[in-house]
Amino acid sequence: MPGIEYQDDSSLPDTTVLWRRVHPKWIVEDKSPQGYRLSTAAFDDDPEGGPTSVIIADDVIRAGGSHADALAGHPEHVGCPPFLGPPRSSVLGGL
Amino acid sequence: MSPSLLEYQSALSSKDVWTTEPVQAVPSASKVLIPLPGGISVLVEGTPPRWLAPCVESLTSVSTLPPNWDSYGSRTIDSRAVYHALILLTQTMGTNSPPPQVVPTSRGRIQLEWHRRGVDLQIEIAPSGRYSAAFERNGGTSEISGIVSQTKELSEFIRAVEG
Repeated sequence: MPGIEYQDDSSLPDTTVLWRRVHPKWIVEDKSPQGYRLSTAAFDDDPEGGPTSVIIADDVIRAGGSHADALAGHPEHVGCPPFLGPPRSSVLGGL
Repeated sequence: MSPSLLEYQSALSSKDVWTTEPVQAVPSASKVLIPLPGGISVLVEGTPPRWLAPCVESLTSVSTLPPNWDSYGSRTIDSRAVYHALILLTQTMGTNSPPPQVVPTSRGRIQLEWHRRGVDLQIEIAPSGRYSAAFERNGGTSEISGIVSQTKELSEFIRAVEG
């Protein structure tokens, strides 16, 4: 959102599992063994150019939920496979 | 570039081609009017390139996405981005170029993608007519940006995904 300065939350380790809803139009065909990939457009959701929205999986699980809860109300979407790794460098722009 | 595509490109750059009025009829057998979302129509003279129909279908499909289609507050796809995407394609594609995959972006833009022949090419087009492109092959990456009226380098990228 414009006017908001986002800060890296250092309490979250790099191994934090993040979930994200994916619209089917963001899945594109390629020549990989599985035959598809996620478009980079799937990780750029803010109309004003802000950071990408994700759900912290542990928060959902601790509350007794599951990945299905992240998709609740969005039947046309699919769940992005558990996405962890280096979000700080690849998604958050190297915060 | 083939003569038929030159005709096609010329037609697209004519003021008579793009209209805000819905098109009701095809004027002659050698010309085809294709309606696009937003009250825009495109006139194709001669034989349309093979990539045109799937592109128009895909662009039309993403244009019907409602607000918040991505569940994260996305905009609807801007019809000007659709227009510029089609202009860009007519200026860069060969007669037998493979059609891109058309991807909507949350900012209301159009992203065109090719992932074939060891090449990953994506071009994002904004409503203003500006584009940014990323081309990857053999571990090397090139990134360029510009406006849809200046696409010489993009044509070279697209040649790389043909065949």
